[in-house]
Amino acid sequence: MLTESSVYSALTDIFSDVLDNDNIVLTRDTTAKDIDGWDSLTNIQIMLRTGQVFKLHFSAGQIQSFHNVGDLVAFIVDKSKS
Amino acid sequence: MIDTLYEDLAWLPAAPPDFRERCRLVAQNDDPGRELRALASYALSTPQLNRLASAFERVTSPSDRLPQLAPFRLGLLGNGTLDAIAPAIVASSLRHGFAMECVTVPFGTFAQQAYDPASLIHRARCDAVLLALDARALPLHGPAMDREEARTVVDGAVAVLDGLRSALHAGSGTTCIVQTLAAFPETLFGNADRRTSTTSRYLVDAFNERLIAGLTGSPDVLLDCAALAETVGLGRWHSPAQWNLAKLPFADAYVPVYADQVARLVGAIKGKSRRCLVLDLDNTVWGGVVGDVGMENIAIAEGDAVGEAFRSVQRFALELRERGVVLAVSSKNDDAVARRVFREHPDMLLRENHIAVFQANWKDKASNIKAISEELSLGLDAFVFLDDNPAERGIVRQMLPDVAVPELPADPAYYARTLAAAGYFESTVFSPEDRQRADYYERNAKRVALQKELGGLDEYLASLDMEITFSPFDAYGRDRIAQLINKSNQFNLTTKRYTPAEIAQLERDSDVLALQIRLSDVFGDNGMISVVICRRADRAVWTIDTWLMSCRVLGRGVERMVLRELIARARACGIARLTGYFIPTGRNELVRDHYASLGFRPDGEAWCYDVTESEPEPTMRVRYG
Repeated sequence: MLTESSVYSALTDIFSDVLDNDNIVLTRDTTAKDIDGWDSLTNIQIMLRTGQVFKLHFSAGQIQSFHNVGDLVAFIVDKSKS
Repeated sequence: MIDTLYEDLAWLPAAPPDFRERCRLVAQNDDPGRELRALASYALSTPQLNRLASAFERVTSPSDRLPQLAPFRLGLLGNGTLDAIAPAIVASSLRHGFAMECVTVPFGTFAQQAYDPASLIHRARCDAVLLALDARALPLHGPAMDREEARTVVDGAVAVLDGLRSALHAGSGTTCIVQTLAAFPETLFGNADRRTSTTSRYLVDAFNERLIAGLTGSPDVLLDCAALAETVGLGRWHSPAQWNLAKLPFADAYVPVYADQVARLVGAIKGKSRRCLVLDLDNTVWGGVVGDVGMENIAIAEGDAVGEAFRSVQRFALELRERGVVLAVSSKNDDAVARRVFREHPDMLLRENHIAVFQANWKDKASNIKAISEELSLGLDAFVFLDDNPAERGIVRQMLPDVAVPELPADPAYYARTLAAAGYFESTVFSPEDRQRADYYERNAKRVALQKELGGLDEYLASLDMEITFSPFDAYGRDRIAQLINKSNQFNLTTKRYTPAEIAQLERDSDVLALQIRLSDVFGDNGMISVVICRRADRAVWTIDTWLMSCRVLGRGVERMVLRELIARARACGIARLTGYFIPTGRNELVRDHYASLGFRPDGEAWCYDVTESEPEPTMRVRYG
């Protein structure tokens, strides 16, 4: 099972890589509005890479259900329990 | 690696850990063009391509900072989201020597852009426009139809594309790059889809056929997207999820290989494709080291699984030659031994007359390739070098960065596929003159006098981070020691053979110094690569009974390190002198000058070294096992 902090750390790497920005700080409440360059296209790339890293597939419905980074982290941690 | 050859661009070396840092520092680099090209030469993922494209954008002005990159402006028109693809094309174009500017237009406006003479795409005066349309962009559907009706539907779809092409030609005189359509994996009837005129598969196939036929006599160029998609698998290529979410015309994982295809096609349009394939021999075009195992024992026969793998390399090289690619050889071998295989081995497909320049010698391969380039008057950027040995590949990449050197998988069965996947010899058309080109070069075929060795070799060797390990003979090493002693022919001073039982005895003999020597480097562990046996001939003299080495590590300075070790051990044992002999066998010409080059003095038949003299400087780390 994954810990929240390990998921945040992996996500920070993915965001930094896709957005080419080393100053990314992710919190539970972070949304696309808070981060430069996080738009619909980079969102897809972030979701694809997150899926690869955690060996998950996100359906469109799941992606739409994430309202902030906290939702995404909770989803990944939850999946790792099964 | 083999499963993901195409999506991972596995013919390119992996990106270094400091890739991001280097991208960031490109603008400060003294030669940003060279650095950009170097960074582009790695197997890059989509984010890495984006990063490199950003680094490139930061240095494009003034343009004279990038003298080695040819400018090219490519318009992108398509029905999907191309914003993600454009930076990948820009970065991949650096790999192929272009300073690429991609002109993109708002989503969904491809037809307006083509038909409006005042549009962005026309005003940009593109060198070429890529019409990245997939089956969803064209009217390729309808109610149940017979073959005649299907033909009308296909005609209509081809007319749409032809209309766009004509408008682009008329508006700005640009060349169009058109794509075949990748069929969708979803079937309707199943196995009957291709014979049922109402299905998407039938219409897509008919469209592609018509599109290709319509290109005859046109300056427009084909990007065979259907072939690429089928190669990676239609089920992987098309991602319904990614289309729905972001209108990605194909799965994101294939952006790097698609972008590389576009860039290599631009290279072909501008005549930058490569023209000469330089082949290593041992374990690249046949299995085994011919100088060690003998011509009879190399793996090259039809019917032998190992031999067939190497035959496929030879067959592909011959096919390339048929279409005008010049073949050359650069191999660490005795010239006569290597040529004899081409002349006499009944299973060889490649023959001496297929090879324009044949360089079999013991010099470093970078110098050899440079010599081949001068002999053929072909620039180094026209060369591809195929070698199974990662250290040889590394040395050529480092010293001749313009030469393309594909990574190869461990299994030789995949060598030909990997070489083909790299697309070095991309061509937009095939002309009869191409066929004659190889012959033209072969008429001048001869062995080239060697240039002086290129500088920078020591630096490269240092970058290999080599570690040499000396151990006495022991039970663990016995089998490999026996194998080396009984099979090594080339780097073998005396060619004395010992049975495993005799080798076991040597372990216990107090008058014998017997060393097994291993080498590891950044590429991994090379295993046991050398064996030395010294016998006490006299109270203060060691005779070097056996000194042999695997040719795989030739030119790495191993023999100097071995001498250094022998000197140290001799001093510790109160030995004053080492005495060695070269016993010629017809196969060990390589080491005729071994002792002379190490500083031994001739004394009749023998070679002597006084251990009070200074020892060679260390060039790698030493360990004792």
